Amino acid sequence: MTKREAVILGGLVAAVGVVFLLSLALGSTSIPLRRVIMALIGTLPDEDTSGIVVTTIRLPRSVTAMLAGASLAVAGLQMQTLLRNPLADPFALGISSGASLGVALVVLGSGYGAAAAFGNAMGMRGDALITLAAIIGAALVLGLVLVVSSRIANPTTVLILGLMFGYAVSAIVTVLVGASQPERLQQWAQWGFGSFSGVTWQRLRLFGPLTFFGVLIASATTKQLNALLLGESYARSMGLAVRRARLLTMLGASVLGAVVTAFCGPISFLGIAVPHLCRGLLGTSDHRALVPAVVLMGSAVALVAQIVSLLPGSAGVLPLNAVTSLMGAPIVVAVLLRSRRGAFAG
Amino acid sequence: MWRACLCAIVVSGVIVAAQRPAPRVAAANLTRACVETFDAAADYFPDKVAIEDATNFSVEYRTSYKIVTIKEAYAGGPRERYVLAQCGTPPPRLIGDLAGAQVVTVPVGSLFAFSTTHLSLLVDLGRVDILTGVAQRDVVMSPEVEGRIKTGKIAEFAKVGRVIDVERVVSARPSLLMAGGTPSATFSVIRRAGVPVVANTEWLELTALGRAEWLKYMALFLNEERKAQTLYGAMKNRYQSLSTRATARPDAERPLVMTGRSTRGMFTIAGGRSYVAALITDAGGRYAWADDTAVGSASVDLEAQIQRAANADVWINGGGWKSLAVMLEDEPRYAAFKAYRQGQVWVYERRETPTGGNDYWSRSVTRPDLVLADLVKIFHPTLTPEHTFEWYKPVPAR
Amino acid sequence: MTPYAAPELCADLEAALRTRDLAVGYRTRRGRRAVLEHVNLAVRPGELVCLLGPNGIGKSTLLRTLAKMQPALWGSVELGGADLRSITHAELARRLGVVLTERVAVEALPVRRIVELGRYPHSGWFGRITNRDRHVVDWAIGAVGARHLAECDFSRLSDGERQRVMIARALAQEPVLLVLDEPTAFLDVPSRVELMGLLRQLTREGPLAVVVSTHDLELALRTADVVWLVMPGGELMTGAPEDVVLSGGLGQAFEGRHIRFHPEERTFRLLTGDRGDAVVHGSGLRASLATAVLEREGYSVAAGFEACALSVHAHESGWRVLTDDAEWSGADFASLAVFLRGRRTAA
Repeated sequence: MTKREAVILGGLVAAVGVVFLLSLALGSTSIPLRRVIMALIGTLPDEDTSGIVVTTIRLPRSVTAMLAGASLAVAGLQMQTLLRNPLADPFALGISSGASLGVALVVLGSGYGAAAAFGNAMGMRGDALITLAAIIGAALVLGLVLVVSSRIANPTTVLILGLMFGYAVSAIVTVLVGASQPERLQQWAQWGFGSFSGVTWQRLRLFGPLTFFGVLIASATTKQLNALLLGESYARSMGLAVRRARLLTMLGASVLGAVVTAFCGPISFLGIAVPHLCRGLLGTSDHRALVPAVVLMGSAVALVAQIVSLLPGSAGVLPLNAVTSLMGAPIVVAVLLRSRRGAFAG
Repeated sequence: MWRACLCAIVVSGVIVAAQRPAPRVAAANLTRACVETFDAAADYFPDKVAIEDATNFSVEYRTSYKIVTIKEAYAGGPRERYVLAQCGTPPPRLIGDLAGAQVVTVPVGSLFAFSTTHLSLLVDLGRVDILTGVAQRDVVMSPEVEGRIKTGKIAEFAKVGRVIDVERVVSARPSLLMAGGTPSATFSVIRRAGVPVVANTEWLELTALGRAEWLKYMALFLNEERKAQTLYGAMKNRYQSLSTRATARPDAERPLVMTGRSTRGMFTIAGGRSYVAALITDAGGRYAWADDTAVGSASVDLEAQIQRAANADVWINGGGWKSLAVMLEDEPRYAAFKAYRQGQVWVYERRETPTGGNDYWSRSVTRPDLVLADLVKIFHPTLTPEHTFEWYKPVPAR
Repeated sequence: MTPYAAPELCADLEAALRTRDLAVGYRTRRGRRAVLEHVNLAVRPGELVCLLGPNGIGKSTLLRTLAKMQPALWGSVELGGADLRSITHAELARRLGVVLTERVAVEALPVRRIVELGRYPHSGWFGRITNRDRHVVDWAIGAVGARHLAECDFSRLSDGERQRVMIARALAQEPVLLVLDEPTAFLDVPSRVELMGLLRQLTREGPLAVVVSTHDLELALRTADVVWLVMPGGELMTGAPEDVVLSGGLGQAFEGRHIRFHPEERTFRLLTGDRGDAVVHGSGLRASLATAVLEREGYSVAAGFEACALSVHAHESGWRVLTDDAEWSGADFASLAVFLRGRRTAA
C-alpha cells in the first residue's frame, strides 16, 4: 500500500467517525449535543424521551446505515470487477426484482391471506414476514440466474441474463400492483422507498452478523478480484479457479444485496456509485486498497444519505431511495468527467 | 262615459291577467313517482334541506329542479354542477350558470355506488331498494346490503383493483353512478354513454358533522329530504349536547391523545386538521399534533412522535392489533409510549360482523354522535356511565 | 542475476515440456473434433521454439492445450515430468506463464502492480507481497527492460511496452516455461523485433524455455532455436529453422498463387517475371535496390540473361538504361520506376 493510499484510508476512517456522530446528533427532532452524549454514555434516566430517541431510534439506525452502506458498496465493487462492467451493481442478477416479488406477494393482492396465515403459523408478523418473503424471493431468482449462467462464459451475457430475469419478475409485480387494493399500495410504496429506520436492535441481532461476516468474506476475495482485473483468461493462467471464483463471488455479492434489500427495502445507487467514487479518490484499481476504501466510503455515504433524508428540524422524511439517487447520480457524473478517460476506458 | 268603463274593464283585465297566480305547493317530495301533468306554477320540492356543516356541497331549489354544486369533484379538482330535474317536468335550459352542468332526473330509479360509505347513507335513509351496483361485493359490511346482494339484484362494477369496468356500467345503464371523490378517466366515457356520474366527496370534509351531513346529499337524488333533515337534526343535537358537556371539563382532566401506527420508523397519524382531530377536540381531549396542518393523514418520523406523545394518556386509531404483546413484536419502540405501558390503546374493533368484517368504516360516517360518545367515554370515563361502547375497545395485554 | 537458484532445474536437461501422442481439438455435442493429432513434441530448458503455420490450422488450439486452458482430446502433456491432468491450476501457475494476443484494458494501475499480479500463485491471503516477492518483481521488470516504466500507468503505455510488461508479469510467476500466443500481432515492426529479441535473450540467460506462435515468419526463422511447422494436412514438422527451410516444408505450407518462398533469402516474394527479363550491372546496395525496383515492375532479374534482356546499370550517381536505340538515366529510383512504367504503356 502506498503512502497516499494509507493517508486516504485514514482520512476515510475519520470521516466515518464524524458522520456517525453527526447522524446521532441530528434527527427530525432537535436534541442538544450534550444530551446526545449523555444518552450514549448512559447518564440519562430511563424514561427520558431524548435518551429513548437516541438509544432506540438513532443509534440502531446509524449502525444499520453503516452496515448496509458497506455491504452494498463491497457487493457493487465485486460485481463491477467480476462482470467487467462499470454499470454493474449488487442487484445485477435480478435480486432486487426477486425481493420485490416476495414482498409484493405478501403485501399486495392474492398472497395476502395465505401469507398472513403462514406468518401466524410461524409466529411471525408484519415486518418479519416481509423480510422473510424478500429473502425467499431474492434467493429464488438468484438461484435461477446462477444455474443458467454457470454455463455461460461471457460476463456481459450474464449481466443481460440477470437484467432479463429482473424484467420478467418486475412484470409479475406490476400485475400484482394493478390488481391490488389502493390501501395496500401505500404500504407497498413505502417499502419501495427504502429505510434504515425499520431495523431495531432486535432485528440487528440477525442483520448485524449477516452483513458483518458477509463484508468480511467479501474482503477475503481481494486477491481473486485483483487477478480478475486482467480478464478471465489471464486470471486462470495465474492459477485462479475462475469458474469457482466467479460463482462464489457472485453468490456472495448477491446475498449481501439480498440481505440489505430484505431488511431495508431496495436501496439504489450506493452499489454503483461508491466503487467509482473510491476509484476516483484513490486513483487505483488495486483491490487491496479499494476494498477497505469502499467499506468505509459506503458507510459514510449511507450515513450522509440518512441524515439528508431526515430534513433535520421537520417531522417529514424524504424517501431514502430518492436521496441516494439524487446524491449518487451527479457524483458519478462528476467523477467520470474529471478522470480524462473515465473509469474502464479501453 | 262608457268609453271610460271600457278602458277600466280592459285595464283591470290586464291587471288581473298580469298577476301571477300564487304557486301551488305539493304535499311532499315525490320519492318514487314522476309528475303526471306538469304545472309550471307548482313547487315540487316542499321538503328542502338546509346545509349547516358540510362545506363541499350546496343546493339551490327551483320549482321543478335543484341545482347542486360540488366545490371540488376530487381533492384539488374543479367545481361541478348538477341539475336534478324532477321526473315528468321539462328540464331547464342549460344556459348561463348552468351551462355544462350534468342533468340527473330525480328521483333516481337505480344507483351504482362506488364507496361503502354511500351504502350506509342508503341504509340510514331506508332506501337500499334503489341500489343496483357496488364496486366490490366482498368489502360490503352492512347486513341490509348483503341481503340484497344475496338476492342477486346487485352488480359488481369495479372488481379488479377498484378500477371501474366501463362496459359493465354502460350495459347496466343505472340512473346514476355515484363516484367516490377521486378522479377517473372512465367518467367522461360513462357520461357520454348516457349514465350520469356525480361525485361524493364527503371524505374531504374537515369535520365529522360535515361528513355526516352528506346524508342530505344522497337524499337530494332520492327526494328524501324530509327523512334526511329529521335524522341529521336529531343526530346533531345529540352530538352537540354531548360535546358541550365534554369540553366543559377543566383542562386538567383533558387527556393528551395520540393516533396512528408505525411502519419501519414512520408513524402514519391523523392530520391536525382532519376530522379525527376535530372529534378529539369535541370529545374533550387534547390532540398531540393539533398544530399540524394536514387535513387527511400525515407521516411523521418515529422520533418526532416519541418527543411529542411519549406522555400521551390515550392512544386511539392505531392499527387492528390483537394484543399489546403483538404490537411490541411489530415495533419494540411502542414501549416508549405511556399510553401503551398503561394499556390505554383503543381500537374500533369491538363489533365484528359474522363475515369477520368491521362496520366502523361504513356506519361511523353517518353516526359521528356514536363515535363521539365512544371517545367521550374513553377520555372521561365517569361522564357518561349509561353509554356502552359502540366500536371502541382497549387492546388486551395478550 | 536470475532468481532461478533451484539447482534441480539447472541440472535438468530433460524436457521442460513433453507431449505424448497428443490430440487437440474441440468437444462438440456430437463428439470430438480433432484439429491436430499424434503430436509428439518436446521442449528443452533454454530453448526458444517458434510455432508456425497457416491461419486457422490449430496453432492457438495447440498452445491453449499445452497451457491447460482447454482440455486435450487424448494423449498427455507433461510439464517438468508431471502430467498436466494431475496438477491443479494453482500448481501449474508456478511452472508455466502465459502471454496472450489480446490487449488488456486496466485503468489506474501502475506497471509495478501489474507485474506483482504475477506473484499470485506464490502470494498469501489478500495478495500480501513479501520482500522476496518484491525482489522477483524487480528482477522481472529489469529482465524485460521496463525499469523506466515501472511507476507509469499501464494504460498509457504503447502496445509494445504493454506486451513487455505482460511478459514481465509472466516471468514473475517464476515459471520453467513461457507460452506466448501471437504476442506480436498488434505491434509495429520495431516492437516485434525487440520482443523476439527479448525472448531470445531470456532463453539464453537461464533455463527458461519459451514457446511462441507467430505469423512473423522471417523473424521467427532468424531467432528460433527450434521451429514447429504445422503443415496444411495437420502434420507437424519440427527441427532447426535451417533444416525446416531445407526440407521445403515452408514452401509447402505457405506457398500461394502469387507468392513463393525463397530459401536462400529465407523470405517470401511475390511472383514476378511477366514483363520480361532484365539484367542489372553493378554491385552493392544500389544494384540490389535496382533489382528490387525491376522485380516490383514485373521483370525477372537474373545474372544469366544477356540477349534481349533489358540492361540496367546502377552506379554511384543513379541509374542508366541502355536499349538498342536509346539511353535513359536518372538520379533516384522513383524515376527508374516511372521509366519502367512508361515502357509498359508504350509497349
